[in-house]
Amino acid sequence: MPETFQIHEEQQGAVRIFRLIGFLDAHTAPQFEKALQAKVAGGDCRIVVDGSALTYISSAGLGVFMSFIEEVREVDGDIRIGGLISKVRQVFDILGFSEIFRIFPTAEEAVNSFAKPDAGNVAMAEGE
Amino acid sequence: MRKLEWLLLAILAIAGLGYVASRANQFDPVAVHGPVRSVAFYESVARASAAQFGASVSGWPVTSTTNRGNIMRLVWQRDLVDRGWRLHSPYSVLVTFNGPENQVCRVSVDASGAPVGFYRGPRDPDAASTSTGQQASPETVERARAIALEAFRSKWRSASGLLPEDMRFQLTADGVVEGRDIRFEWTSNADPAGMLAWKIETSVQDGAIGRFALFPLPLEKLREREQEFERTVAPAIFVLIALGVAGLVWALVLTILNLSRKRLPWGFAVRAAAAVGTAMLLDLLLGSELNEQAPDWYLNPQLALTLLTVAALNVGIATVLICAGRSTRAASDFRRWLGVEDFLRLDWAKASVARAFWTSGLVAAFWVAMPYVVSAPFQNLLFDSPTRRALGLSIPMADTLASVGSIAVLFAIAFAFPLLKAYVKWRALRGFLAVAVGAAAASVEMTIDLPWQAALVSSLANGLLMVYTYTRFGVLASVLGGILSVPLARALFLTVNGDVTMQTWGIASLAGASLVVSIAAVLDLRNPAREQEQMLSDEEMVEFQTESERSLVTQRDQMLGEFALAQQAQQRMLPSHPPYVEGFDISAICKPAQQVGGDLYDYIHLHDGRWACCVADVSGKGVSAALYMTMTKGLLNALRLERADLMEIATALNQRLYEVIRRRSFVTMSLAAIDPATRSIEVLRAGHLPMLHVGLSGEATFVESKGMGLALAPSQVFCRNLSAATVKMQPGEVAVLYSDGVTEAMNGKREEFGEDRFAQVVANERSRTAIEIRDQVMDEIQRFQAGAAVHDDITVLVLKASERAENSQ
Repeated sequence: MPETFQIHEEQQGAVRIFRLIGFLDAHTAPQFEKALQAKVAGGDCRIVVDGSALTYISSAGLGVFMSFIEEVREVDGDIRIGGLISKVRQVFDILGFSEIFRIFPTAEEAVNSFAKPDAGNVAMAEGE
Repeated sequence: MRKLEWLLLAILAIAGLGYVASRANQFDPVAVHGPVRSVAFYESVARASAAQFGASVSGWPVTSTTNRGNIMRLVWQRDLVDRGWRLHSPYSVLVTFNGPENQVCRVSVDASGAPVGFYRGPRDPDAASTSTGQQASPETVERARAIALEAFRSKWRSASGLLPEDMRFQLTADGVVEGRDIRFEWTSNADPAGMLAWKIETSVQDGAIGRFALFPLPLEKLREREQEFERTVAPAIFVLIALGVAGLVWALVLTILNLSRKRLPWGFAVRAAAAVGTAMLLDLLLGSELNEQAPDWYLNPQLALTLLTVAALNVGIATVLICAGRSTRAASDFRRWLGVEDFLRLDWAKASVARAFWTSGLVAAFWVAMPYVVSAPFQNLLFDSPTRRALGLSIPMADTLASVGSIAVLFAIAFAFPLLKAYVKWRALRGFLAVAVGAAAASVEMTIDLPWQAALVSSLANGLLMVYTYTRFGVLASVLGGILSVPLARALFLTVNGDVTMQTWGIASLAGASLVVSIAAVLDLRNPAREQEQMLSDEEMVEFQTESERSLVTQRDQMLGEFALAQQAQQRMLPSHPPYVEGFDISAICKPAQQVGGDLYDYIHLHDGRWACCVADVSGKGVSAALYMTMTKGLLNALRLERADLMEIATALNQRLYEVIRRRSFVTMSLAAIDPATRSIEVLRAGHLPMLHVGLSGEATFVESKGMGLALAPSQVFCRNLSAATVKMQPGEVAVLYSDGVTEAMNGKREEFGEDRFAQVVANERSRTAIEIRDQVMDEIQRFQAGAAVHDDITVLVLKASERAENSQ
């Protein structure tokens, strides 16, 4: 079977960009989880996920986002998402992820948003 | 260090081959006869000889077959050779001229080129009518005697070359009339040891020689010696055969068991059979021993059937041996099998195969040289298998796979060694047993022409060699090396000892083999990925892990048993039948992708008397998802007693789940409460896919409303993002709750089943009952997936507003 999922990582200033390519499902989610884990453990907590080449996401893939968000926000970091194609964006919306994550039209805007004064984490700030 | 080892091995191999080549003709008992000749030579001798006997065979088609080894034991008696009492080579070539009207002329020419037999007459002399009682006149007998005497004087002397001085022939049958034949017979005196005499028989027919034969006459003493020898080796041979048969039966049982338990992939067995079958077919077509003895076997249906049956049996045995070894090999043996796996998958450019190809050349060189080097201290060896094989007529590829020797090599390397490795833990014992098995396998091909001490030493050395090459080079290289040593030896002998034609064959074969070895070596050494290719791929790693877990098989079986119980328990948790709701027809199904799943549907009787249908999906799969699913169901049933409002139930459920799961996972859910009085459905979705509604005319809409997944966020956030929708249901309208396993079901091309297709199916079937709609959706999904791997649970819950008050299962 051909490679169905790839991650390209890139550092832009203080922001770590994860460009996800292909299918993020129960089979490929551990790969993404490992990559995120490595950065978060190393203290890189300003993370942008570039979803422009992400063609499919399943609930297991969404679970990866959830499992790190609290941890990075505790140290004033965030996971912000940019460039989702409409089908994937729909999944984020249906599940209510757009209430928790800040989602931008493009990855670039997501990266730039870190430079601006923090508008506050939409959901979590109130919750706890 | 590695390089030094390779260098040393290569030097040893070349030196060994050189030694064998330099002594090639010393092992031959018929050293006087000159080079190993090609079939053209024997045919020309036969033609000349036929002419001398007065047979005209010009224009008759020729077939030649070898006749070897049948009087080998006469030659094996060393003293017969020393005294020159051996008149001709034990090998002969039988040249048949096929004339018209079933007439044939057969001339037997020994390896030294002397005609030792002549026959002319009908193809099948027994079938020809013999007129008995016919009296030959004394003049006819007298004339026949003169002809026979002439033949005796001129032919046998030329056939026998130098005769010992004390050999004398006596006329022992003089003019015996047998039908049209008049037979004469000369018998020699016995050799000084009293073991062998020679006989010359001629038949004269119609004034010309009809039959001439020079053949050995074993005497009582020689026969006794032979019997004595047989008595000594018989028990050993019997034990070997018994062990071999027991091993084969064991291998067969192992193969069948492992195939049926799916520990041995069918693909491997089929590929192995195909590879062995191809080799066997080539062997049969290019000139096996069988083919040489009956070159026109394919014209004879009965013989062809027998040959093909034997070949099929050999293929079966070889395949079973490989399969049994493959399925019993220990995890630590994995790498040694890599070459075999890649070879059978035809990945011949891979490092594992390329390396095996060129190291098999090295291994074969050791195989050829070993018996010679080991038996060098034993003087006056007569001859041995490679020499014997060198005297064939066909090209040197012949006689490889079909031979018992090859099967024995396969037995030891592909089957016995992996078995020992897997089951004998004590290293010293394992080594000892392995060498013993190797020695026994090597001795199968050994012929009786070595003195027993030499045979023993040679077998043991070969056993050691097998263990070494198996350990060092892996299964493919050692098996190929062992089997290819036979044609290699033959090619070497022909190159050193053959006439021009045979030398050409020999050199061509050696050059071909060298080319293959060189290409493989270059491919291997210049392959940038050669180290990676020696590593395991992910798939192989998974397989490897399952194999290393073989000792845990019982534990795993137990766990699988528990999983099955868990699955039963989970299935029991789903409601067995829908509730009775006036004016609605309800049906649901859940098909888990794994043994335990994360999908759930349930019917909840709310506080206010309404029934609520619920479809939920826990993210993730397997045991943890199943546990959260169980928890969700429990919470839901507890909460319904306290509240009737869907929003309140969902918010409370979110709070409890959030506290426990804390984002390690999340749950999406649709809740649909049915109000029979107003024929309406209040629906709420917590991050779940929206309910599908299909109207009377088939228009499909997805009922959108706000809502986050459960256990993602605390109550305040969850609550703020939640809304419910209400749908009026006309009689005949359909609403469906479902999980994402439905819309995201994929086919082999990774295309999704999708919302549109799903809505279309429901719309098409809207006039049917709930259970029929449900089943139709499941059928369409299954047809769409068409056997592709199913990754997600599939849940469908159909609500149909019925015309009358009715219900169905």
